[in-house]
Amino acid sequence: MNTGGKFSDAELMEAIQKNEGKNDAIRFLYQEYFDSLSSLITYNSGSTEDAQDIFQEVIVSFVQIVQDGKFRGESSIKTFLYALARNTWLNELKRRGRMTQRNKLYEEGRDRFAVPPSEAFENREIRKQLLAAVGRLGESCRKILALFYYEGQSMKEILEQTSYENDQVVRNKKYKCLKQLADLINNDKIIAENLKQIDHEQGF
Amino acid sequence: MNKDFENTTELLEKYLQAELSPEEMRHVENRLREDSRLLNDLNNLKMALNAIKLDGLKSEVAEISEAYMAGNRENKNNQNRGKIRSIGYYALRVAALLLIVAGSYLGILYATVSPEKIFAENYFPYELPASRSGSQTSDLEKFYTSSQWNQVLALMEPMEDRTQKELFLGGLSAMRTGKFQYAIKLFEKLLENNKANQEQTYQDGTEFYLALTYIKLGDYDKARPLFQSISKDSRHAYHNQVHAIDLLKLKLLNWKK
Repeated sequence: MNTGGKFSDAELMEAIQKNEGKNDAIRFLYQEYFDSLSSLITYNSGSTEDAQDIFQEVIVSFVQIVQDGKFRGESSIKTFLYALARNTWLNELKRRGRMTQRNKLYEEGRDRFAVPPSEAFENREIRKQLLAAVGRLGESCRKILALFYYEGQSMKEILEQTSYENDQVVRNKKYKCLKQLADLINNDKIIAENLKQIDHEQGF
Repeated sequence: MNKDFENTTELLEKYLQAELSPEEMRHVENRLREDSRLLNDLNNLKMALNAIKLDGLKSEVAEISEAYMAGNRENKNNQNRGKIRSIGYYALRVAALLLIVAGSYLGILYATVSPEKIFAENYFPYELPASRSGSQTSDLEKFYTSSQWNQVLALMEPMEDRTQKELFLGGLSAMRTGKFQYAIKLFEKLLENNKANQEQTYQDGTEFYLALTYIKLGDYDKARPLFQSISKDSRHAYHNQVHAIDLLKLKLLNWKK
C-alpha cells in the first residue's frame, strides 16, 4: 500500500479498489491532473468553477468505474481521465443547450471507445437527480444512511454518534429514511423520463 | 414469512444485501416475478442504495477538492506574500545589522511581538468554494457566504448534530464575531470527532484556525504544537502559511508572560 507521495497507475488502482489509501490516491489525482484537465474545460468555454465541478465529477465517476472493475487498463489513467473529462464537459454543454460551433468542431475529435456508452448523457442526468434526492432528505436521515451504507458502520457505532434511545430505534429510522429516499426517486419525473429513454434505446 | 419483517422495505433491503435464507430468497424471487409493483419497489430501492453510495463518495471527493483548492489559493497568496516578505526580509536584515550595533534584533522582536500582530499577519478569511452547478447549498453555508455570522452561530446547537463542515464554518463565524472561546469549543469538538472516527475531515483548516484562536486568547502553549506540526508537514494544506519566525515569536510571547 502506498502511504503517500507518488502513485503508479497500478498503485492508484489498488488503493481505490481495496479502499485502502483511497483518499491519498484521490489527492494524488488532483495534484497530478487537475491543472491540465481544468485547462481543457477553460479553453472550451468553461469557467474556473466549471472546471472544478467537472473534475470533481470525473474523479467520482473514475473511482466508481475502478471499484466496479470496469476500468480494464487498456489506456493509461491519464488518457482515461482526459477522455472522461472531455465527454463529461461536452454533455454538460449539451445540457445547458449552448453548444457553440466551436464546441461542435471540438466534439468531432471525441474518443468513441475510451468511455463506456453506459456513461452517457442520460445516466449522468439520473446521477444528478439521485444526488438531488439524497439532498432533499433531512440531515439526520442522510447521516444514518451514509454511516450505515457508505461507511459500513454497525448500528451500535451509529447509536454512539446520534441521540437515539437504542439500536432498534436507529434501525427503524434507517428503514424509514430508506423508504423516503426510494419514494423520492420513484416520484422523480426526470429520472422516470431518462429511464424510459434508456429502455427505448436498448429496445426494451 | 412477512411477519419477520416490519415492512416491504426491510424485506427488499435484506434481499438486496443477500441477508435472507435460501428459502426466503426464493420466496421473494417468486413474488417479484408475479408482482410488478414489488419489482418497481425493488428497482427504486436499488437506486436509493446507489444514490447513498454516490452521495458519500461525492462528499469525500468534494472535501479533498476543497482542501486542494484552498491549498492552491494559499500558495498563490503565499507567493505574493513571499515577494513582500522577501523585500521585508532584506529590510529586516539591514535593520538587524543596525540593531546588532545598537543591541540585538531579538531584543527588539521581544519588545514588539504581540498576539495581535501574529494573528493579523497569519489570519486570512476562509472562503467557501463557489457554488457548484447541481450541488445543494445548506442554509448554514448560505449564511456563511453572505457573512451572516450570527445566523451561522444560531444553527450550531446542539453541537452533537452538526456535521464537520458545519462545526468548521461555525468556528470561523465565532472568530469573525470575536467569540473566541466559543470558536475553540467548536474547533475542538471537530478535532475530537475526527479522532473518534479516525477521519481527517476539515482537519488541516481547523488546526490552523484553532492555533490562531489560541494565540488571540494568549494560550501560546496550545498554539505552538499546532503551528509546529503544520510547519513540519509539507502536505498540510496550511503548511506554507506557517513560518519558522512564527514559532520563534510564540516562544518570545511565552517568555513575556
